[in-house]
Parts: sequence; structure tokens; C-alpha cells
Amino acid sequence: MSILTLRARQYVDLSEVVRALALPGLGLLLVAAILTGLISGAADMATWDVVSVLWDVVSGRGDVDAISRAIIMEIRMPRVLLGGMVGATLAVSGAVLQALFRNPLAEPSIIGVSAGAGAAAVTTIVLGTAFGAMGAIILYALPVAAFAGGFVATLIVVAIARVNGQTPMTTILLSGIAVAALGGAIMGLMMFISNDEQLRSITFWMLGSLGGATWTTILPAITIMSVILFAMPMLMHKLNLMLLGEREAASLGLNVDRFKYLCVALVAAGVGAAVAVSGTIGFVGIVVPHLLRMVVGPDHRILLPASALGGAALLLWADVVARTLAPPAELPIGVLTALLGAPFFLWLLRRASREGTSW
Amino acid sequence: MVSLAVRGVDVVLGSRQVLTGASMEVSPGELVAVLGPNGAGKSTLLNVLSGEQKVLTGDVRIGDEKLHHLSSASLACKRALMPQKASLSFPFKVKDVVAMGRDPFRASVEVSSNRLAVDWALQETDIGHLARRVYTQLSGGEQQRVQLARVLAQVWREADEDARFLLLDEPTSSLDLAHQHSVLHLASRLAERGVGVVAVVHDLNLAALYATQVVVLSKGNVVATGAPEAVLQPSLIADVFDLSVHRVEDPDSGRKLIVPTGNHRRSASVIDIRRAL
Repeated sequence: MSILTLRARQYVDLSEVVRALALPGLGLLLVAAILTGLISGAADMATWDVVSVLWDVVSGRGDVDAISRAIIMEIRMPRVLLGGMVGATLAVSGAVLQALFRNPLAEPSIIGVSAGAGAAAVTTIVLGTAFGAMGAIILYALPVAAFAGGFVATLIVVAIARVNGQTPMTTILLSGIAVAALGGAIMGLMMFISNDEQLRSITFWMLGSLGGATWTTILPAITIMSVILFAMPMLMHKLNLMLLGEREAASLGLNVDRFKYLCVALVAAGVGAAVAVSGTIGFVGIVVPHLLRMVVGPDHRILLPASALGGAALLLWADVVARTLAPPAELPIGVLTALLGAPFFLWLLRRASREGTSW
Repeated sequence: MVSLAVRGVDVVLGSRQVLTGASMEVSPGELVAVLGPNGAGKSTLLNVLSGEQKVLTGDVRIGDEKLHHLSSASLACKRALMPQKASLSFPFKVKDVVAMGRDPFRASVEVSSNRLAVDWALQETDIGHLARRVYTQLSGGEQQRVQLARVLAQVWREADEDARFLLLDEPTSSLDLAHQHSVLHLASRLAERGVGVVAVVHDLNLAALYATQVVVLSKGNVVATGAPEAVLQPSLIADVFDLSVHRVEDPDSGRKLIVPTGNHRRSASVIDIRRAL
């Protein structure tokens, strides 16, 4: 071994190299996922067709045929955009809550948002059709109800958790569990009184899907989800301080209670919007930040953008698999993420505990 | 001179009165040791000084300003607090943990100065060689020195004229003998550079050796304040700690050392009670 390599080993910190390469690497993975998402589908499209349509849209020339253009821009693009935004939002929300709870096993549903959204959505499906509302009304009422339900449930969780003017994370956790149980009970009740057709739409919604995304249905949700993504630069330093401990964060000038409310509100809005348009998609919010923390470390200056890129890429790849596994049928994407996510997560935990690090 | 002062403070936690009419003051240049038995209210007093603990009566001021009128951000530029127990359980690099001490100055101070502060704090706490190690894999004593470096970085200034305060809650609890002394020595050097330091310590000799002032707490009351030589009399120690001690002279330096006699008063009084029954 030469002196040069010895020196290199001494001075090049491998973890620094990984950190530096993580964001560009995840970015590439996301770009590849977007292109694959646009290419794959029922109608045959070559990579070149997709690229030429995209170039045509960007340059504004309009000399590709209208059908390819419509397939790419009106059918596949909203779906890909929605998938990317939902994946990014779920992963970033998971990372934020894991920092607030200082627990790597926290996930977005912990603050009651998923249960609230689920209960509201299922209630809308069952009672809406029972009162004879038309399909189109359900289509628009469902995301609104789900979003509102998620937000209200989170408000209840935070209000209950407030003791003596402070909101300890443990009481948020406990009241989150209680509100989730209540939401589950409402869902169970609605499923019990539903008819076969309603049960089918409930099941479809609960398993999660990116199908049916059009520009009009996704734009409001995407706008809401982008708030938490744009807030990332403002949150990342403060989340690091929260990991240090609440007292330490307070003595370093962070208004801890106000910051908690801000984070919970951002997550409730983002996840509420995600659940409203795509149903419940599990495991992205817990697996992505957890996995990336193992690679890039706990520093949110890298972890948050990495989670956004990684979450988006993961959900888009999962959607590609869901669409192409048994065409023309689509596997529910929520089923797929859990099916892949759960064993992978268990494997990570095993490996980490063997190496003596808990996360 | 701008000092950090607590006057006539009462604190009630739950149904327990933790501090009763407590008063103390620290000025830049001083190293005040807070002494007292377990549960005397030492940590609470430190939390009052940091502005973290709200008080029922009395007030806490930096100079003329009441502490609770200051925003937490501006307070963070005036004082640093090292809690007794650190709760960091995420695998940050040591240098990143120390750099968080500069977070209050992220916007107002240049990056190069903040980096200088971190390097200085790493050197002073003797953990330069651990800078790239992962915090969670260090020993308890090493972790404690990292936390100390973090608060040191927070009180670092390019020029020493600013009044600022360093509050240390049992900074030596996990340290070996040599590092206990180097931490207190470091604290007294910081005091010389214009920092007002308050440290909760258990070792009376450590306090006697380095502190310019001592504050003795007993059951929520400040029972004595003053220079260590004057305050740490065997009679006071017997009253407050329920322990009989001798003061002996160190043959080299002539300083007074406090040596427990081994004749434990508490067990003696139990025997007295049995006899009385």
C-alpha cells in the first residue's frame, strides 16, 4: 500500500463522500422514475416519443401529434406529478414528525391525520351515496371531506394534548392513538352499514391509488402539499435543535411550542391533502426518512431534501410496478408500498441491531 | 456592569415549593458555584436563571431587563445552559453537535467566525480528536464534554466586551478526576474573559478551589452566599449536608481543604431517636 492511499484513507471521510453524493444520486433516481412513469402505460410509447413531447411542450412549438401529446400531458403527467408530490410530502412529513418526537419510528399517521381523513372519506362515500348524491359530487366532495377530516382530527389531538400551556410530545402521541382508534371505529361503523358497491369504493380508497389523477383534481392538493416542501429550508436547522432535546432547543433560542404547532399544522395539511387525493399509502412516511438517515445521517439539512427526493422516487417506481405487473389491471399502490416496505423495514431493523446501532 | 440576578423568587412545581424567596447574582468575571444536597433546588435555580422556569413571585433580570421580556432568540445570544442530562440519541457527528451551539448566531455572524468558535470549543474541552466521531458511540464522560463544548461555542465572542452567561448543571458528574478539574479550570478562565459562570457542583473542594463565589441552597432556601473560604465552614456544612467535616490545610498551597470525618451525623441521629424511644 502506498503512502498516498494511506493518506487518503486518513483524510477522506467516507460518510462525507456519501453525504455529498446522496442528493445528486437521489435526484437522478427521481428523474429516471419520472421518465419511466411517463413511458410506461397502456399505450406504447418509446423513450424518444416522451422526450420529444416534453421538448415540444417546453419549446412551445406544437409539432408532435395531438394524441401522443394528450397521453403524455393529460393522462400520465398529472399522475406522475401527483405521485411525486405525495411521495415527497409523506416522506418529509415522516422526517419532521420523527424529529419532533425524537423517535425514528414516528410516522405521519401518529398525529391522527390519516384516521381523521379516512373516517371523513368513508363517511362521505357511505352517507353521500345513501342520500342519493351523484358520482360527480362524491368525486369532488371526497377530497375536501378527507382533507377537512384530517385537519380537524389533528386539531383535536393537539388540543387534548395541551397541559398547563405546554404540549408534551408524549401526550400528543397518546391522544393521537385515541383519536386514531375513534377514526377507526367510525370507519368500521360506516363499512358495517355500507352496501356492496359502497364497500368496493371504500376498499379502493383505503388501499390507495394514483389513478384518476387529472389536472383539475390534483391542482388544489398539489398546492397544499407544496407548502411543506417549500418550508423545508426554514425547518431544517430547527429540527436539528429539536433532536438535541426540547430544553436544549429552547435555550438555543427556539420557541419550542410554537415550532411544534407549526410543524404539526404543516404535516396535517400536507398529509391531509395527500390522503385526500390518493387514499392511504402506508410505509413511505416511515421507511424513507429512516432508510435515508442510515445513509446520510440525522442532519436535516440533508435529510429533508433527501427524503423529498427519495419519497418521490420511491412512490413513482412503486406506481410503475403497480401499473406494469399485471396489465391492464393495476395493483393498489398502498398495498404495494406496504408489501415491499414492511419486509425491507424489518430487514433494516435486524441489520441495524446486529451492528449495534439502534437506527 | 450587566449582571444576571434573581431576586426573591418562589417556584412551585406541582404541590411542592421548590424555591422560597431565593436570591442570587452573577456578574461577568465571576464563577459562582451552586452547592447543596440533592433536592435542594439547585437545578431549579439554574432554570430560573436561564429563563426556562417561570417564577411565581420575584424577578429575574439581565442588567435592567426582565428575562421574560426578552425573546428566546435574543436570550440565546446572552446565555447558554447545559442541562444535567442530555437527551440526544441521534447519531450526529461531534462537530455538528458543537456547531448547533452557534445556531443563535447563524444569521448574524459570519460562517468563518462560527467555525472558529466551534474549533475553539473543541480544543478547550479536549475533544478535538473526537470531532468526526459519532456522538451516540462516545462514552458518557465524552458526551458530557461534547455538550460542554456546545455551550462554550454558544458563549464564544470575537471580542470579549459583551456580557454573557454560562449556566452549567453538574458539568462534572460523569467526568474523571482530571477532567473535572480541567472543566472547572476552563470555567474560571472563561470568567476571566468576561463570562459570568454559574455551575452546580457537588464536590465542595472543587468549588473552593475554582469558584469566586458560592451559593448554598438547603430545602429551597439560599442559606449562604459569599466567598468560598468564608462560607464553607464546618458548622454550615454540618447543618446543610448533615455531614461532619474537618477543614485541613493543604501543606503545599496553604489552602483549606474539606475532609469528611466519616462520622456520619444522620446515622448518629437515628441512634439518638432509637434511644429516645
